[in-house]
Amino acid sequence: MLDLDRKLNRRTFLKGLGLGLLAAGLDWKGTIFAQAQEELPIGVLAPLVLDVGQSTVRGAELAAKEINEAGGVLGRKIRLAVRDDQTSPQAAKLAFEDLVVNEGVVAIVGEFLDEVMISLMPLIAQFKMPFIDTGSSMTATNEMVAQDYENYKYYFRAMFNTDTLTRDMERLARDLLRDELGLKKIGLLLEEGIWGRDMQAFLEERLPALGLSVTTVFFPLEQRDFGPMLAQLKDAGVEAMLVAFAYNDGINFVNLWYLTKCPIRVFGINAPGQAYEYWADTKGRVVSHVYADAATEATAITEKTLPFYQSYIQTYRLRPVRPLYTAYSTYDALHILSEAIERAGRADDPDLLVAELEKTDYIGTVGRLVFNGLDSPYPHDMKYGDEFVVPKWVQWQADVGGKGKREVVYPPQYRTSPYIPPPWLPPPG
Amino acid sequence: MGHRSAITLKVLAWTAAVAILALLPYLPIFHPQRGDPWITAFILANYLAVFAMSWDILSGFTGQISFGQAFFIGAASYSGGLANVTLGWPISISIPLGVLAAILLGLLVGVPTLRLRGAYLALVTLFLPILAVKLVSIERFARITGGGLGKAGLTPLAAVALRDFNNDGKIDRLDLLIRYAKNQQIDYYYSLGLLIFVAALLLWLARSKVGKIFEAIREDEEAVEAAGINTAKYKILAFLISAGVAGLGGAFYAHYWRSLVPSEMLSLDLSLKVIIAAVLGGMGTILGPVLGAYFLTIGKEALGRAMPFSLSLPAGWTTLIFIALLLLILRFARRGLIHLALSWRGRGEETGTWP
Amino acid sequence: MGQILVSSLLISALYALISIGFTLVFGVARVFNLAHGAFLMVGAYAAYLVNGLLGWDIYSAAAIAVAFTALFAALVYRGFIRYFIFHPIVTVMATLAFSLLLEQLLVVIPPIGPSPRHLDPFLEGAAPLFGAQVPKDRLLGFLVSWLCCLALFLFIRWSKAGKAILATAQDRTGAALVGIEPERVYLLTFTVSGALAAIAGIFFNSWTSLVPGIWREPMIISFAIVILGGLGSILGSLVAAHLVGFLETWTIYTPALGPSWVGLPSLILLLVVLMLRPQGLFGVRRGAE
Repeated sequence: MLDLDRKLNRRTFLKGLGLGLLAAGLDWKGTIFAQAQEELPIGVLAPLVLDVGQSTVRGAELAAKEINEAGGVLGRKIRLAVRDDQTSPQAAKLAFEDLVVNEGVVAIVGEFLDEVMISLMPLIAQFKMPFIDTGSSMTATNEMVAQDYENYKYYFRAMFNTDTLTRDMERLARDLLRDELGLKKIGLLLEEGIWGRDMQAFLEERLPALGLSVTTVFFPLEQRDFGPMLAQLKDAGVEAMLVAFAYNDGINFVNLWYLTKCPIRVFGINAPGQAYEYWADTKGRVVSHVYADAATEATAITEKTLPFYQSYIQTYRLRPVRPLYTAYSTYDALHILSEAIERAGRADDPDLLVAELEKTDYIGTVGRLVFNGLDSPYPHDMKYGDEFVVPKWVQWQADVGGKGKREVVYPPQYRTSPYIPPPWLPPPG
Repeated sequence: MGHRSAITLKVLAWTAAVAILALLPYLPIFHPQRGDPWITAFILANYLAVFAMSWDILSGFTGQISFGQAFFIGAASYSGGLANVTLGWPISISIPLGVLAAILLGLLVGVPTLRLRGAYLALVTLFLPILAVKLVSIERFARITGGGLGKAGLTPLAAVALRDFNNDGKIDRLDLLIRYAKNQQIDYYYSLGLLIFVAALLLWLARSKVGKIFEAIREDEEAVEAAGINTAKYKILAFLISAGVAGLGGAFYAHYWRSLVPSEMLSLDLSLKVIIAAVLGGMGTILGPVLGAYFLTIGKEALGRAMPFSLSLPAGWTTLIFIALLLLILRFARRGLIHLALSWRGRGEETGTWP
Repeated sequence: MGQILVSSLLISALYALISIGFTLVFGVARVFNLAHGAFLMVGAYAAYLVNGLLGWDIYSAAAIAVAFTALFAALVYRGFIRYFIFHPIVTVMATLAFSLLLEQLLVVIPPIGPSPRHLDPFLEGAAPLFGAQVPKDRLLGFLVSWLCCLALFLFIRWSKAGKAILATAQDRTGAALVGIEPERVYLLTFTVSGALAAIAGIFFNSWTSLVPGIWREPMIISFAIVILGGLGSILGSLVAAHLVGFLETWTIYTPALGPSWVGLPSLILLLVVLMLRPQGLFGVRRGAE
C-alpha cells in the first residue's frame, strides 16, 4: 500500500487527468485502498438466478469462512464481493468493472456461460486480473492464453473444459456404451453454440473410428419442444444418445423422453440436471440418465470431498440443497488462490500471483489439481487424467422410497453401481 | 421583458448543461483516476439518447410509428462489427459501412411500408428485429455471425497504451486503473460527441423546411399532398435519416461494447427502451428523447445503487418502475417530461403528440 | 410427412385458440390487444400456483385458472385498457408495456421468480398415431381446443349475448341503436378471450417449462396468424393458424433448415402479406390504407 501512496504522489497523472484529481484524489485513497489494507477483497461473478450460480457463491463462502477461521491470508481476512452477471455479456462486463474499480478485488472466481466468459477475456487482460473460471467450459479461453500468453495469462480454470469432457465422452462411449452395453448406434443431441459445434466435430471424427455410427441433431438454446429431435434420432435407429445441455434446462427434453418411453439411453452433460432438485423438478422422469459431474456425495474422491459436502448441506437449506459442480470447483479455486497469495507474500502483484498459481499442485474436493503448462494446447486448464481429475459419470436412479439417488457408473475406480437402463428397455446382456 | 429574460435563461441553462456534460469525467463527485461506473451509465445514456432521437425524427415528426429501431441499430452493429472482426477492416471503414447498411435497410423497409398506416406500420416494424435475431441465430451461419451467442473481439474505440503514461516501466494495478479511466473518458467523449452531433443535426433538420413538412405530414397528410408536395418522398427521407442515425449510433455502440450480442443489440427490449425514452421525454422535440434517455439510464443506475445488490431485485424492480412510469406518461402527460418541465416554467411549447 | 401432419395439426389447434381470442377482441372492440400473450401467461401461472404451490390436481387447477384469467381479462379491460384506447398506437404501446410489467412482476415475486416452473401433465404416457408417438396430453389439448372453437361458434350464433357480440362487430352504431350496450359487449369479449387464452396457455405449457417470458412467443405467433388471416376474421384465423402451424413444423423437419429456422418462414410470409394485402387473406379492407 505504501507503494501506491508513493505512486499517487509522484506520478504525473495530473498531466493526463487534470482537474478532477484535486478534489477526488483524497476520497479515493481514503476509501477503497485503506479498506483493502485490512481485508482481502476477492470477487465472485456468477449468474445468481441460476442454481449453478448460487452454488458458485456458496462454494466461495464456505472456503472463505474456512480460510478466515484459520487466520486468513497473509493475516488478512477474505472479503467476498459478489456480483450477478445476469447471464448477459453486457451486464457481466459492467459487474466486472465494478468489482475491479469499486471493490478493489485482487482476483475473481466464478462464471458459467461461455458467451459471458469469453466476453470478459479482454477485461482480464486489460486489468491483469487473475481470474479462476469455475463454471464455463469452452476451450477458446485457453487458446487465447496459448496464443497471447503475456496478455491472457491471468486466466485459469478449475473445471473441465469441453475438450476433456468430449474426450472423456469418447472413453465412456468406448468402455461403457460399446464394450459393456454392446451398443453400436450413437446419437448426439447438442445445444447450438460454440461448444456444441466443437463437440460435434470431435465426436463425429472419433466415434466412427471406434466402430460406432453417429447421428447428430442440434437444438436452439430456447427450444421447448424436443419431439422433432427425438423423432429424428429414433428414426435413425439410435440406441444411446450423448446430450449437451447448459443454457437450456433440459426438463422439457426429459419429460418428453419419459412420457413417450423413448427407446434411447441418455448419457452426457446437463449442467442443471446435476442438481439434486432435478429429480423432483422432473418428477423422477430423469431416471436412468447419466450425466457428467465433478464430484458426488456417493464417492470420496479425496479426503476433502465428503467433509465439504457435509458442511454444504448443513449450511444451506435453500435450493440448491446439495452442491453442484460449481460449488466444488469454486471452493477448490478459493483455496488454490489463497495458497498462491500466501506463497507470493503479497496480493497486489498480478504477475507474481500468476507465477505462483502456475505452481499449484493441490488436492481438492474433485481430485488433484495441477494447471497445464504452455506445452499443452490448453494452458492454465486443470490437468486431465486418472492421476489428476476426470469427470465422474453419475446416473439418476430411483431408491426404494421412490426418491432420486445419484450413483457413479463410470469410470471404474469411482463406480458405485452398474448402469441400469430405463424401465422400458431390457437390461444389458 | 419577461420574454427576453426567458431566452437568456434558456441559453444559460443549455450552456450550463453542455458544460457539465463536457466536463463530466472531471467532476469531483466521480473518481476520475480509476474510472467510475457512473460514467459508464452516462455513456450508455448518450447512446440511448442517440437511438431515441433517431426514433423521434421518424415517429415523433412524421408520425410513422416504428417499433423496430433495434433493427437498424443491430443491422449497423452487425454489418460493421462483422466486417471488423472477421475481415479485419478498421473502425474507419467498419462504422461508415454499418451506417450505409442501416440506410439501405431503411430504404428497403421504408418504401414497401409507405402505404401502411398507424398500428400496421408499428406491427411490421415490431417484427423486423425479431426476424433479424432469427436470421443471425441460424446455426448454419453461426461460424460467420456467431449465432445466438454473438461474436466478440471488435476493435475498441479507445485503446490507450500503458507506455503512454507509465514512465517508470513497472506496471501495477494503479496503472491499469488509470488506463481504464482514460479509456472510459475517451469512450465517454465519443458518445458525447455523437450525441451533440446528432442532436445538432436533427435540431437543424427539424427547424428547416424539411422538418416543417415532416410535422405537417403528421398533422394532416392529405393537406400536404393537396399543396402539391410529394409526401411519399418525405416519408421515405424520414425513414432513411432515422435508419442512418440509428445506424451511426449502433455502429459505434458495437465497438464500444467490443462484441455483438443478438439478444441485446437486436432485441425487442432495446426497441421498447428506445420508445420508452422518447415517449417519456417527449415526442417530436428531439431534445425530449435525450432527456428521457438520461432520466431512464441515470435513474436506473441510481435506483440500482440505492438497493443492496445481493437481492438481485433491482434489475427487475427498476424495470418495473420505468414501465409503470411510461404508462402514466402515456395516459396523463402525452407530451412527455420535457413538456412538463416547460409548462412548469410557464411557457409550454406546442410539442408533438399522437398523430 | 405423417409425423409433420400430426404434429402440425396438434400445434395448430392451440395456435387457433390463441388467435381467435385476439381477433375477436379486435373485431368487436377494435383494440390491438398486445396483452393477449400476457393473458396466456397469467393462465399458465395461475394453474401453476394452484397445482404446483397448493398441490391441487391439475384438472381443478386448470378450471380455476381459466375462470381466474377470464375475470382478470375483464378487469384489465375495465381498469386499464379502456383508458388507453384513445389512439391505436397508444393502445399497442400500453398493452405491450402492460405485458412487460406483468412479466417483471412474476420475476420479482418470490414464490414465482425467473426459474422455470412446471405443471403436472393431464395424462401420462403417449399414444401411437400414424407412426408417431404422441403424448396423450397433446391429444387432449387438441380435442379441448376444437371443442372450445365449436362452443364459441355455437355461442356466437345461438346465444343472445353472442348475437350482441356479432352485431357490435358488424356495426357498432347500429347495435347501439337497437339497445346493445357496447361497453358490456366489450367486457364480455375480453372475458371470453381471456378464458380462451388461459386454456391455450395451460395446454401450451403443460409439457414445457413456465418462465416469465412465455407471453412473447404466443404474442408473436398469434399476431402473425391474425394478420395473415385478416383482422377480425375468425375463419381467417382458423385457416392461418393451420398454415403457420404447418410451416413451423415443416421447417423443423426439413433437414436443410432445422429448428433454428423456426419462425422465419411465417414471419417472412407475414411481412409479404402485410405489404401486398394488409387486410390479410380473409380480411375486409379497413383502416390499413
